[in-house]
Amino acid sequence: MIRSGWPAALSIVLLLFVSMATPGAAQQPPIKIGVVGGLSGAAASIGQAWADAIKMGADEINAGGGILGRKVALSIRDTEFKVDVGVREAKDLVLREKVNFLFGAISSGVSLAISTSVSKENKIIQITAVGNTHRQTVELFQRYFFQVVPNTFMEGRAAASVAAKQQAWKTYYTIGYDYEFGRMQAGAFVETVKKLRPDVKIIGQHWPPVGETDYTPYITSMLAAKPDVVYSNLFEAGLAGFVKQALPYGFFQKVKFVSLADVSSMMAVPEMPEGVLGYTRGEFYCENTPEMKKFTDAFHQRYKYYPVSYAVMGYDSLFMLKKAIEKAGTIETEAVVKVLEGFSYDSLRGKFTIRPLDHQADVPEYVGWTVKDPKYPFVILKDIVKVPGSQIIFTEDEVKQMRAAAKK
Amino acid sequence: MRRWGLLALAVGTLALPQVAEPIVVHTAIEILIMALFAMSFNLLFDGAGLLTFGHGCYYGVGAYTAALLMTEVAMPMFAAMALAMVMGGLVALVFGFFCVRLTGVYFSILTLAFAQLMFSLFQQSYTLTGGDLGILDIQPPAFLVAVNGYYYFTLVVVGVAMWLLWRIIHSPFGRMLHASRDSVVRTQFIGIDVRRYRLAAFVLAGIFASLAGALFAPFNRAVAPFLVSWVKSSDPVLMTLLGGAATFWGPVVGAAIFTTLHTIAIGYTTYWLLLMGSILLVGVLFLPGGILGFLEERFPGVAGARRTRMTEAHGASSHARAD
Amino acid sequence: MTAADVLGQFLSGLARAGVLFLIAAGLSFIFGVVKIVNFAHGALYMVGAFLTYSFTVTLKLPFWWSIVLAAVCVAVIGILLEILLFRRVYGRPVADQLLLTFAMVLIIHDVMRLAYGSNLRSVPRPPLLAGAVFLGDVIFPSYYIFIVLTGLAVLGGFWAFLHRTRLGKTIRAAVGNREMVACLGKPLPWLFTTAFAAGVFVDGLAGAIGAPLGGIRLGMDFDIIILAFATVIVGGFGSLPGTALAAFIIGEAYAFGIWFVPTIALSLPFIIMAAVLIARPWGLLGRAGGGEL
Repeated sequence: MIRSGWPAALSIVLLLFVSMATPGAAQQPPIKIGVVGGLSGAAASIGQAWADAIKMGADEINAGGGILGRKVALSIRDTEFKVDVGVREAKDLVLREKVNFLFGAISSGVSLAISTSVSKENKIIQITAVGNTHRQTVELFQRYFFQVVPNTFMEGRAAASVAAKQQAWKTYYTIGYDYEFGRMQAGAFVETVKKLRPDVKIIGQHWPPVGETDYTPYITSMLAAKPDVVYSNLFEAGLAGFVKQALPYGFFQKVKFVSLADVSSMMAVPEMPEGVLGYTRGEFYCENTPEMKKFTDAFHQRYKYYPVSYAVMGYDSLFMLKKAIEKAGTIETEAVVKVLEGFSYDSLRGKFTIRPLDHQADVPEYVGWTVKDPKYPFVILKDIVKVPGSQIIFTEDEVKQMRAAAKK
Repeated sequence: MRRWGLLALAVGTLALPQVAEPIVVHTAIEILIMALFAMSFNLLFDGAGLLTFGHGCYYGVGAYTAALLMTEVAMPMFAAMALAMVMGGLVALVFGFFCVRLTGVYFSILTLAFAQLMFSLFQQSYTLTGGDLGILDIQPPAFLVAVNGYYYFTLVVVGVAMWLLWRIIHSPFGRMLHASRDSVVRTQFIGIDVRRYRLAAFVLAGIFASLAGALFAPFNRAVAPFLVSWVKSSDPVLMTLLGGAATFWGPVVGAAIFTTLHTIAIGYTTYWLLLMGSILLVGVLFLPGGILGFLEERFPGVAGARRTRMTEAHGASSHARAD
Repeated sequence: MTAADVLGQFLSGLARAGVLFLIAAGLSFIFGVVKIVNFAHGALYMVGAFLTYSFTVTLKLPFWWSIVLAAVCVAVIGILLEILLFRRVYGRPVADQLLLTFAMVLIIHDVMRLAYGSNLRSVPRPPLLAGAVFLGDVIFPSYYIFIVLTGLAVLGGFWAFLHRTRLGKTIRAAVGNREMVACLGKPLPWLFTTAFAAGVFVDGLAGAIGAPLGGIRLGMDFDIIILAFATVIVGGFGSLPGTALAAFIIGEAYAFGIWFVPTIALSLPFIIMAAVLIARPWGLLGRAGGGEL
């Protein structure tokens, strides 16, 4: 290239910077919370539900006078489920918008990256209600990070504890997404089932890629192996595809099925059969309390769809933070961290406590059997076992061992 | 007049961290890294007439190599970056060997196929590359942790890299590359092995892209397989086309505009895709040759020295010098 | 592993091939004739799926009407896009066309999000095709028979159109030699619009027919776009029989890949694609020299 073009180029670049530079803001009266998670593309439904609940919660808080007399102001950013965008948006929220707290993210990879790249260095409290890799609280733990969602292992353990009780279930085939969430959760499920029932055999495992749309080869393969049970941690559109494609094969008459059963996934597949052992982090119908009913009705009235577990947990995280700030009497980070460690909160899912060792809340997982309900356009769970967090959470020794192993 | 402009810009660039907020400096670093990434892409695109859809592969390889070396074996950052460039060059050599034997859309799609294979590899190797969670907690040396320090560091590295790219493009090698882009047959008639030149350009582009990636890894403190995918590979393409592929500085302008627009759009509305897409649409329809191409037509000479016969390759109208 | 198991796995690969072919056919045709690399291909597929949802679930139209209507709507959208946008970038370098189609992908995503929200949608299979056909121990869902038959119909339909109708023959001539066809007084722009509309119609039809197979959501275009390109490349741009063959190979490779080589099953389409590009760039049934842009 003979042309250089640099004068025009650099002029434009500097003009842009001038336009971007905002005058340094004096400490604003509202309490600013950065809400950063995936809102577009693949799992947009999850992020959207979570953000919607937090928005509703913030409006409720503000209508009630705010926190410590100050209003809550939300800044919502889309991470596109990309690590670089997520870190950049979180940094922008912290450095430019000067948020006091961060909520996020949806994808474990992004929430982990925000924890290690932004929350730790800038000493901003980050609370995750969806992204649930165990690494956030174990080997990559940093003290400003808090988790109010059961981690991948806790979910697998809970499902396994109920599955193991089915004496007739002896041979299992698993199908899980080929990424950390899918592998860890299937692994936890298998480990727990085998521990509780040494007679159980795992006769095969499939790992479809994330985003897979066609499951027929997996379906035929598993049916050919003739297991008693198929365990799956597919979700959202993938689970919908799997179920729809499996139905004509008579799949659900031939094998028992254990599966994630959050409302968002169930909405995508109204044909979901009954009698499936489903597990979820906490749907609106899992708790019959007046608080849950009030939340559900308000959400449904405002947004015209039912709040899925991600919404429930997002709402929990906001109000838990409110209570913690009120108890600390300040939004100052270190003070709030001190309050949150060991903090017990009465959430929509019942009371949970945040463990000081790893900042993981001992939140429950719900396991039940799918059943159609005329009130809703999706299947729900009945005969729900609320597996308490204390039963499925890593023991303190396990956490210490894993951290020590990671240091080597 | 131009000298004053040059001086003002130089002063502005150097003084930026003193006058601007940290987030602006942070964005500036990102723009510098993306600019280098886009320029390496343009070495192939405008330099050799090769449109690659898989350039993220080398960016990602550079980022991961630096990340792994710094976290697993605690290698000092500069050494890690150097090795990252070597790795990027090697991978580019292997993939490039096959790619440069193709032309047109076939070349483009093979580069994409290789990038996707790399992506699958990175996504599935939990032990080696951390799987979908990637590598985290990459710590630069203490004096580069603060954003101002990293800005000056990046400015120096990217500045040197751009100077090198300039030298390459204006060297006999670069001119031969242009010749092969404009007419393969004539170039072969004068005895040039076009494939060798293209492979050399491919490897060089890979090296510079991996340098950009190696700058990115400690800056972001985290890398993930996404950096290797075709979606990331589309970033330099968009930036270069937006800024104007026919100029040396076009990719820089494109990187600056794209990144700033992206940031502003996301902060402004959750429907930022609509905003970005519309702006891109307007850009394509009404600014052929990108922003600098448009400015050049309106204000001839603003973009620098004379034009050459690149009109056919880039579709901008008029102003072709008779050859 | 019994013969029945193998046959079952083979049929599931066939099902996958059928879906792949429908998705890729429109892309192959548009590139072969109009010479546009259409990145918005997946986005239009997604529109077809969402529209099918609106027609079947919201408006409660019969399934067969819905899918045809959805495909027609997508074709109309395609024609509008072609007239308003694509025509301006014919003759411009391919980079501009890519940029244009990429911009469309972004815009269509948010238009869909505005229209339908972020939640997943579901379209049921029509009762007639909800069951399966039994061949002894082996099961083959009826819906996949429908898909394979539709694929064959598309294949045959295109062949008949291109080889038996005057319009089709003119289009083939225009692919070979545009200037000559223009000299003969044929309206080139409308030829290309027709070809584009035909390709986009199949694209929308693929989205409509694919709708009952899984969850309908934002971003489903990204799921299929790369596979569509892989199929088209392996078969050869512009050759629909090639696309069908490629879809078959990729489908079966995947079905048996997950049995024998599960770790690379994800990468199989790209390995095949890379191998074809290295050994025989114009694809299995394409013509050499047919890919220059």
